[in-house]
Amino acid sequence: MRTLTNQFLRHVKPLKPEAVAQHRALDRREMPTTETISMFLLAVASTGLYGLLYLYGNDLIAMARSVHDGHKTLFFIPIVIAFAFSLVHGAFTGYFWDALGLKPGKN
Amino acid sequence: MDISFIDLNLTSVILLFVIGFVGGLVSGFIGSGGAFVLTPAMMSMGASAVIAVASNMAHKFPKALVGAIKRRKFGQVDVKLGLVMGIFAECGVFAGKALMTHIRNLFGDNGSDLYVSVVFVVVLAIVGGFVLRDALRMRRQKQDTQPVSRLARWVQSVHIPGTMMYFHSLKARVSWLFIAPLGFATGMLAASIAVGGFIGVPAMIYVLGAPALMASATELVVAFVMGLGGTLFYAWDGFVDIRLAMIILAGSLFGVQLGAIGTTYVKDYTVKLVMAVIMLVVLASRLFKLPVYLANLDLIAPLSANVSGWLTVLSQATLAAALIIGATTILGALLKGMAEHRRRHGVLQPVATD
Repeated sequence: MRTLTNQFLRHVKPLKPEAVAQHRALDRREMPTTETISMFLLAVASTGLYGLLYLYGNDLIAMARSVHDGHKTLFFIPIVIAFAFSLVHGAFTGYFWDALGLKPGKN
Repeated sequence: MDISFIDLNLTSVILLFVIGFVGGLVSGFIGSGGAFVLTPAMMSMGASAVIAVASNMAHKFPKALVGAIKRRKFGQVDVKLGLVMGIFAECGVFAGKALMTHIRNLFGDNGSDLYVSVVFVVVLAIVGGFVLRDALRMRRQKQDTQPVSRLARWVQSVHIPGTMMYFHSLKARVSWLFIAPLGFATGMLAASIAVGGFIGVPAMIYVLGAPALMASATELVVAFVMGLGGTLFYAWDGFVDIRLAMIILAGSLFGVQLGAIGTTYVKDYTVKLVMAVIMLVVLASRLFKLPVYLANLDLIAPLSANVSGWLTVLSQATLAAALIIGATTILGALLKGMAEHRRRHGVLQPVATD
């Protein structure tokens, strides 16, 4: 078997060192497993946040009305929600385009 | 006084998501944009003006934050310049709001609408025309980056003791006394037409001497500061409809990331070209609406309801067209840039030895 393999390999042209480097770079461009897992976890977290928004949408509106009527204690809640969504959904969208192969170029 | 929030259905959610995506794409690329379509879109769904503006603000600052973080990774953001300009822009936002309220109290809604339209037309005609001319010249001369303007060289040469700050995007020390009026004008414009970047980005390029790519990225920091301040202001009165804001954000975060990636594949003049085209199409949309406001204030002969209605529809359609043209140009530039990048680096063709 080893002889057969050696005979076959003799007919295959070896790659130039720069081509090998290019292939290695391509391999590195493949998304590692940890990044794929992160993307899916963030997708689940993002979906969860939007699910909560759907479930508690009416409560949030009632809270905004209450703030408008003078109960200012919870006025900052929309800001906290906006930050939470930007962190989770923002990280997910970053991984999403990465996974589709849309990576930054030369600039 | 009670406030009314709109009911959301599937169609409105999808529409907000799509507009958010396109707005985010433009924002990620030129540093601002999208807001001028989102507010009218929310109002046409039944949201009151104040809720539409407040919710727009609440989606704007997280979007700007994500866009700024992304473009900082590409080395395009000058955080210090963005923060300094943002602080003065915040002052401009409050002054702009006070001016708008004063005009509304004096001349009613038609008066403030006319004021906004005149600001649109004057600013966009002057700045948009100048940016377009400059972008076309750079393209013709095949310049990748633009030399620092004469005005910027003078601004950088002025030394006012106790006010000088170093900015890495400018590679120079500049007095914050020059930055203050630019930031203030950016905030004033943001309070009037919701897109402060139409002044902020050209000001950073032509007055301070920042490259277009860095100016558009730094504008995201300015937008974040302005958006956060504005949201706090509106949230204090309970005007933020967080459901609306987060739905728009869902789409716009996809867009802003893509727009930011797009900047790494284009030359400096492409950013200017996209910005100028959007500004001039938005200008056309305001021109369509101007006769309606003039007629409502009895400054010209009254228009029939039919003509007035058609002009309004035409104006809104042109606004949407501005965003679509901008997004298409950005996507086109991104795809072209990626194809060229692959061809130049040829990573997909392994080279065999002889």
